[in-house]
Amino acid sequence: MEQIQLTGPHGPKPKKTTVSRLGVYAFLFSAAVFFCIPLYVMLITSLKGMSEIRLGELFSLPGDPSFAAWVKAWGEACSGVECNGIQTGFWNSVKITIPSVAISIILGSINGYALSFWRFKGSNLLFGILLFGAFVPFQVVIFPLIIFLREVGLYGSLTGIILIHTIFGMPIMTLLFRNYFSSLPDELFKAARVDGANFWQIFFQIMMPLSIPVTVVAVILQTTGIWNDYLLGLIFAGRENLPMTVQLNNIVATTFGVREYNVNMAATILTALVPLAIYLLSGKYFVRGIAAGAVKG
Amino acid sequence: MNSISIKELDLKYQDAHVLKQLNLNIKKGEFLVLLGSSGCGKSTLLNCIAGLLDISAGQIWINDRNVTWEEPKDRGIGMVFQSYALYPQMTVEKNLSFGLKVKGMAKGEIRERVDRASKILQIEPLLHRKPSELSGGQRQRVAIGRALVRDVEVFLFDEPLSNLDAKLRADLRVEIKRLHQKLKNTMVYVTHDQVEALTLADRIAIMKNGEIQQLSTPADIYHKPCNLFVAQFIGSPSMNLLEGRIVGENFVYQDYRVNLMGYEFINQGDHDENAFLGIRPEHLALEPRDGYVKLISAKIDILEPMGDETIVWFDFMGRKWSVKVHGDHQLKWDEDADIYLDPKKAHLFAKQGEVRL
Repeated sequence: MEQIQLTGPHGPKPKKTTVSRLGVYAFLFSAAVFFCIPLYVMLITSLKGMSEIRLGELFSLPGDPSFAAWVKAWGEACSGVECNGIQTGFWNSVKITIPSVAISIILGSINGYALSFWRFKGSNLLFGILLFGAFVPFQVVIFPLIIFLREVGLYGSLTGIILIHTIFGMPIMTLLFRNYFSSLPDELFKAARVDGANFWQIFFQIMMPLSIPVTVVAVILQTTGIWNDYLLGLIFAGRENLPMTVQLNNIVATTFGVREYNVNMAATILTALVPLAIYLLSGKYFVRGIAAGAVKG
Repeated sequence: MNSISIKELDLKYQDAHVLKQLNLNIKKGEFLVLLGSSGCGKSTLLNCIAGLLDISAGQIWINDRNVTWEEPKDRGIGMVFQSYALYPQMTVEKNLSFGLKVKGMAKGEIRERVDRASKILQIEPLLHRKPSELSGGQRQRVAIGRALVRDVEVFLFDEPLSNLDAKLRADLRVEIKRLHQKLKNTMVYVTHDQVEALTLADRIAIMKNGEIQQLSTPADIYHKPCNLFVAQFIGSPSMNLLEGRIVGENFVYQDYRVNLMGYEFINQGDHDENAFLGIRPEHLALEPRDGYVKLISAKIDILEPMGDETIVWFDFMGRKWSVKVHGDHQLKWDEDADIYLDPKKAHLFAKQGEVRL
């Protein structure tokens, strides 16, 4: 066959690197560096010994890297008079986070399911009220909540703080699941009703298996939110159940003897490790979760 | 004996009156098609029959039982949806058996029914696949199967073929007809596609604004539309229209005069009133024939060859007229042609009320 010679533009359009594109990259790069520097400083400081830190060379790599500060931060650092490290706080946070995340997601998904499929008189009003809850500042309700928990005898207990996190998670969880279920075809629900499935059968056998993507988003949102919480944990958890964030503050703020920067850095990184791990393990979903929270919340 | 009986059915939302005092009786074993453009209330009516929508007033009877307040599952119906609505996480087999399992039926009987339905619909090789692994036609077959295993009297179809491509739609249409001939269930079928309606139905109910305009056999609806809306809705291209006046035996339109000899008026006697004359493109001709009268001579505006036939468009006194002729016709754009009309096949509608005369 004869080869036809093409003149003029042909084939894929060539990609050009324009000045504005370079500018965008330069900006993004510097922004990334801006946020990475503190992390870098924390990491290398936590690996240095105190004598090296005193030299004041903030950015230089450790001459003799050691994890001694990490071990100390985990098991021996003092917060107030106790010197058990940050591990108690870690386990407290685990004990608070897991049930809170699970309960708030279960309730939120049931709410969202009922609100999007089983429309009843006033369901929109109820949803509106629930949404309003997402916009009420913490500070407004903290005092009434303290009194409420005191009256029912849950103030300063693990159950109390789990209840608080569940309540505060309800609006955003309901919103997330309602929007997701609303995006599912209505006919799926109708088909299940014609098939004779009831409220719970439709929820557990049809809708729950379909909501895995949004559940992952919900887990990410709630886990990071509850793990990073400081205020509620400080107020409601009680002395025995202070979460990791509160204990971290206590360790860092303890002015007793030498201020061990390496230990403080290590403790901080340890505390941030859980949200960080979640971010790294589920990058795509994490972004989606933030978007869901930002746009729809 | 009526399989479905709808009495004085009314459905109102705050600002919309969707169904208006609707009465409809569907005989046992009948294939009834609800036909109309979107928003006419046909799907709403079907959902009311299924019990998926609460009605404002009236009654629904299925198999001589008042089911107005009953749950969908207790009404003895199976339903097939436009989007198939298969449960995505379940295999075909689980999709078919879900309703039976929920009912608490014995395993052996579930097996039996699933086998029977999948044999009828020839989906046996697909039983262990997920819906996402099926083609559109296969999915819709499974959806029909889900209604089939319920072993019910009444099948409800909500635009089941609208999501399929043209070829598959034609195939599945024939299959649904075959299924009906075999099972002899009552079927109510909602569609906006007049070809589906005409080919499938024993009777068609044409709806507009929540009211049934005409309820009749496909032939009746095609040949004797009861009003202008039905006349224009059925047929493609639409019926050609002239607005004029009936004077004695003639239809007079400006300088034109059409002799109405042979037209069957509903009310015999003298007519003298403003009216529309309608004639379908297939009942016009471009050459003189027996019983045809010459209407006009006009310039060909556009030719649409479709293989077996050609649609010829004319500009006739400011209106677009179409004529269906055989595909072999040698015609040229911009030429003049004579248009002949068969008065027996014409339709007359009163200007007042737009009902058939």
